[in-house]
Amino acid sequence: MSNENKEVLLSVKNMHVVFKVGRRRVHAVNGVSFDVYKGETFGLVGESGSGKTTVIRTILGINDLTSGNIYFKDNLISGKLSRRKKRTLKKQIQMIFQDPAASLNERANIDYIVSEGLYNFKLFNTEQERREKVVKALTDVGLLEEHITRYPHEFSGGQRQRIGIARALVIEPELVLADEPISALDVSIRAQVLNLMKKLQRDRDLTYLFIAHDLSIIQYISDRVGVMHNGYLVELADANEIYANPLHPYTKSLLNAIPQPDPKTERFRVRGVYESTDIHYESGEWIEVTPGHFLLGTPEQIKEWTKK
Amino acid sequence: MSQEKIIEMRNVEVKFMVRDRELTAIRDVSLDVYKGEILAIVGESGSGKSVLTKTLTGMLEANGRISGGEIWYEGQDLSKIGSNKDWLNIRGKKIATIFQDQSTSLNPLKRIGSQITEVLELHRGMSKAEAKVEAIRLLERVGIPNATARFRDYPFQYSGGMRQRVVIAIALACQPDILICDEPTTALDVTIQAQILDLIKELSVENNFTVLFITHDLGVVANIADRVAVMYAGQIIEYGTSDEVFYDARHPYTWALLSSLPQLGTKGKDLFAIIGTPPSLFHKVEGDAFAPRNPLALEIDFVEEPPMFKVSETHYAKTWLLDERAPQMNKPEAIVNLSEKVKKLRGDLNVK
Repeated sequence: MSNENKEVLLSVKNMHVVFKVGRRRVHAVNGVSFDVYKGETFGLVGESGSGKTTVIRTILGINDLTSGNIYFKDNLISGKLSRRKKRTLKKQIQMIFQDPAASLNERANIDYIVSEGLYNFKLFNTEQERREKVVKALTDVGLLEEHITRYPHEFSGGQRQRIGIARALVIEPELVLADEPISALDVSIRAQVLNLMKKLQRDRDLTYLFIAHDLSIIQYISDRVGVMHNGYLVELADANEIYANPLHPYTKSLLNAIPQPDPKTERFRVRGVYESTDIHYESGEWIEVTPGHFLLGTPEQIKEWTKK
Repeated sequence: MSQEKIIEMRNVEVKFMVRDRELTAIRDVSLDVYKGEILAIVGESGSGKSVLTKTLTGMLEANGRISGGEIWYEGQDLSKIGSNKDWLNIRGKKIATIFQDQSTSLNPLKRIGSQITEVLELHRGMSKAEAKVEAIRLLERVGIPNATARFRDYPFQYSGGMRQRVVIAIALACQPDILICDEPTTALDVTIQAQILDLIKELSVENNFTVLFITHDLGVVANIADRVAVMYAGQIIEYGTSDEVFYDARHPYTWALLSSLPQLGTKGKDLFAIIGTPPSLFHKVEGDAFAPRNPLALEIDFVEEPPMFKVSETHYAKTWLLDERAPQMNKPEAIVNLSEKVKKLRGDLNVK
């Protein structure tokens, strides 16, 4: 699949994020670069502490970028921005959070929660238009008009996540950052929410940047996948490619660790142990080994990893 | 796995009072646990899997009570134990529990070492010096590197996976007969999860204890369990050996759980999704509790509760589909030839 003639919606170039903790400096993100194409789902996967959430928080401007650049539709969106530019960005980039209970204002009813973005950006002319937009947003995510007067605690986890999605989508953003949107949900509800997100993407030509630690979900939902470890992006490729042909030892260990719903496979599983201390990420270069498949490593390491 | 039963639950019912309303969390559950086995209890939140195992250690919340049935362990009916003092001989000592959230299971103000030695001194009557030697041995056994030095660390100095190892070491300190693992790996990363699962399996063989493993993750179940019990709305709706439940599931809910796994999804196609939500247990559930969410439900499912039908000596399922009068229904395409599908997936992985 050629990625050349696709429109780049979001471009992260050499992102570094350093947190100061007392006297210590924690390098949370180290030189991460990737592009997200319009209309695709880009999955970012890694264990906790890998820096994946910091990456999207930095894109949103919640964390400060230490160095590097972020472009949205070819406009620089990192560094000092005018208030107006920040506002437009907020309308164009929305976020869906992990914990649907914590991310909704429990004292506000659903009408207000979903309308807040509409108020902020004055996206309606009449009260009737506002209400219509809210009802449409709710029905689009499979909720009912009568839910409009209820409060978050009256809903189940899956329904709350639907409200979170409705709130993000009602102002018609182009890019949605989803931070583990289904990991807090029950197994039987996860598939519902994943299907819904896929459907909304098709209907509205949305672009997702999807974060998860669970590779099986990332594999299912993403078009392209970036694998992060210790603040470094270690491998990036097409989702199918990364499954069929994982090259970085960390990616392999991550794939190998997914528990499979099959007792026979599990009984005879041999686990590889990944020693991150063997590989010094900081000396690696970001190299495209085959078209669209990137790998972080020294030339010797890459030679070693790519030999069959 | 032996044929000797270590726990026998008969028609257990558990009720909770929630804001003056009565909720039946466990509805008539009978289950045998065999000595030395790893039994996984699977279900979504609210299905009663945690509540069921809490009855074994007298740890039901204050508003809950065992309102019916018997739970036999070592010739004693656990459901009749009233005083906390009697529980102390069982809880922790014979039946230990490790929980999902390791950070709340440990005392943040006490050193790791003393949290283990206090158990050894209290329950096994060891002297301070003996307890220290044993605690370091336990820490080494659960895979804490450099255990002697880390003995004096505080919990915050350990990572999540390491803390869960410490919790396991504390549970082992009493040499329990039964270890209840309540979603012990849910808060951990996949790579760490795999290590903890391996550790629990090894230890259960080494120390000859029985494991009740609660989880909602069927991948984890396939990895660890000898037998599987599937719970829905406060009942066990199917149980059998791992192979029976994964390759020959009979209950539509088990089918649905398996089919909705993203591991088995085809890219670009919708995942199989279970519609709706589980029933409220504040009300009496009529018929088969899963019927309203089950597109394959029969008319009788809405009227009469199905009994447990026998599939094999070890495999039972609570669905009218097993009645001789029921129409023939095939399990969903997604889980036919499960093994081949997973093999194909993993074959593509190219991982040794």
